[in-house]
Amino acid sequence: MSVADLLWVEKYRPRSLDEIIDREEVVSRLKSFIKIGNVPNMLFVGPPGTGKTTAALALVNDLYQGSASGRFLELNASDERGINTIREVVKDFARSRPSTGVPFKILILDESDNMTQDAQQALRRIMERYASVTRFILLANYQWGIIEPIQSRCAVFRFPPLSPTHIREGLIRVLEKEGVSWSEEALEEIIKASRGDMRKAINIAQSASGGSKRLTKESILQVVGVLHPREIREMINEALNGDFVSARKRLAKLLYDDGLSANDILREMNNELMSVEMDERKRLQVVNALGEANFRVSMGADAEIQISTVLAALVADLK
Amino acid sequence: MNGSKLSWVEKYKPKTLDEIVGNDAAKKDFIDWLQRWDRRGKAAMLHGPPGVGKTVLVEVAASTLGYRLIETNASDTRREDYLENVIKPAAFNRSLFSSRLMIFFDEIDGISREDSGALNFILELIESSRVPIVMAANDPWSPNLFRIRDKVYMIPMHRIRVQSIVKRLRDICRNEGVRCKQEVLMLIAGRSEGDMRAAIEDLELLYSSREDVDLEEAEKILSYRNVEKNIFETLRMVAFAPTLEKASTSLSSSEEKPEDILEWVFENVPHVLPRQSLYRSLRYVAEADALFKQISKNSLWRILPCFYHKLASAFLVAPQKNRASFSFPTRMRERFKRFQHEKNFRELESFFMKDLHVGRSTFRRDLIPLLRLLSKNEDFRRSMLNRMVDQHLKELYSSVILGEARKRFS
Repeated sequence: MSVADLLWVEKYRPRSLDEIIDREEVVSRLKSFIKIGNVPNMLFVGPPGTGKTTAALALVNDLYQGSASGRFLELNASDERGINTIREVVKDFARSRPSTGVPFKILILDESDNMTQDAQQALRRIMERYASVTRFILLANYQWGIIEPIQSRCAVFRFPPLSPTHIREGLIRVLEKEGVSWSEEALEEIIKASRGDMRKAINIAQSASGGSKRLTKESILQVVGVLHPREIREMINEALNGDFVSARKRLAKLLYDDGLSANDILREMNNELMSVEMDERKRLQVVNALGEANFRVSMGADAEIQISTVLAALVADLK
Repeated sequence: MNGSKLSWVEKYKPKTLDEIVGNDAAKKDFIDWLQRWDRRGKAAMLHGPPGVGKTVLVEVAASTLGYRLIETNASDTRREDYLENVIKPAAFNRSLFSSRLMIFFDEIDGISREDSGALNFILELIESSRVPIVMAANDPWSPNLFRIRDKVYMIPMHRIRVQSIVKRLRDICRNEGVRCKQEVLMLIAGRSEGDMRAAIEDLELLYSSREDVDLEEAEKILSYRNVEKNIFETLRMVAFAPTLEKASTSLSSSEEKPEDILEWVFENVPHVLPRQSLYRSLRYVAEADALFKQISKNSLWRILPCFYHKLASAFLVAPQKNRASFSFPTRMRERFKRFQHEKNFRELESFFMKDLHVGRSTFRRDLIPLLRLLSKNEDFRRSMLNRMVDQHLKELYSSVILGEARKRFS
């Protein structure tokens, strides 16, 4: 038995393009591809929880009309064996060309901006070589995390954060099906904490409802801090207070104990840095360090060493 | 790592002349010299191998005879402004009433021959200073020092006898409440080659985290330390190197692998540099890291010297805190544990990723915290475990999600 039905995000994931909330433009373009029975290579770009995977899976489902199994594959690009796995899979695809119906298979590559530049170069060659039998849907948080030659071979679709209205709509849809009641202010809290991330919104709702089938503001506030860890802010504060060694320890915990990706840590730091109070010139220096760290990590440098420079920039006083 | 806990070397540093073990002749000689000292500007040089108590003797003698000590090390002498603004005024302190001063150049053989500015400054100071000048050197016959050597009163210090070291170690053990076998103490003292500091460092390494060690185990642990010792020495040389070239050469002539040296520098920069210089310093480390990845990927070994330059620069951006103490890189110590932990994560996530259509980042960022929260609920936990056929998977789930692993890894 699958674990999918235990988690609301998966249980209520839209199965068809018609069920998708918001994203009208994306959906209508995808539908037009289905109508002509051909799709280009695509790049779905947007922050977490904005429907990239959902849209890709729904497209596959609609395209193959329910008999999608064996015709598409999801791979996680952040695996370092990634590029070899991809090559093998694509070769297999090429060998077993589907005899009827849609003449190509689809490969969904999640988190493709986590691939190193070299892996992306290799991916680009694979995309060219097997263009006749395979279509790629690359999912990424940042468009600039994908090398230019791949971008130019893809139709780019943007997935901005969902509007509060749409988060509300999606939440209510799930809550009604689960028979959970809610107070208006509880809903407001979730929407605020989700920042346009539908996955986060639904996760908060599920963990806050517990066994009680009722959402209150209190139960929401209890889980929000846990699901949206405060640790990155604490790390920044430690550095701002001059305690570099503690900040670096916390960074190591986030990277190794919690296994967070460097990209996620950097993105979250970036968000926090915009709101933390500090001298504007200092903010400039820190954000600059962050950019450099981001770039070097994407070139294959060590995450802890690179992010440490951002912490050190926070420690430094400007004269 | 945090300043609250003193290392044993610091904790058991002698506070009185009697507590300084060995070198009785040198002690008497130095005290006599100081008491004889009249304002005619002559300097003394304590010389001998590392860890025999040169620095401690100067510090204790100063406090015993009521001198205020102005300490400098080789990295300070690089800085002309420091010599001009701190040392010079102290040397020509004319006030009869202010506290008596003594100027101490530690590790004077670290001054480079090319640094003629600093050498001339010191020579001049020896001639004209109105306060006592004391120096310490490991190697007084270093060619750098030949001009100074003729002008100073030389006091040799010798390796400390094994028996004396054993006795001191036993006192420390008693005070720390650890049981120590005589043969282990003999092993430590024998290996130390008369270096008290090294012996106490070894003792702390063996006993700080456990109460009893047998000879065989001690031999194993300390042989590991051999390597460590080399890198400690290298780091010390880099940290106090007077020039970039010297620092860089120390690094490149080390027997450690370049990537390990990077780890050592990354670990220790925050421990030995003032906060203000951290950013500049770590930028060099980060550049070295990025550069090394390129070097090893593209076999650009001919530009490896650039890598060492960058690492050396990381230390040279600022003068060190006095008496820097280096620590073993956390990342190297934890490497295996982290590798295991990461492996557990991956096995577990490959189970979830298929069903839940999430990538690795999403799994770690959103799913793990969610599963941890939901798993507090008995029913949820049971349903989840029921869906895992594999016993191994259940164990992973218990350790990674239900928190046993977190205790182990925090």
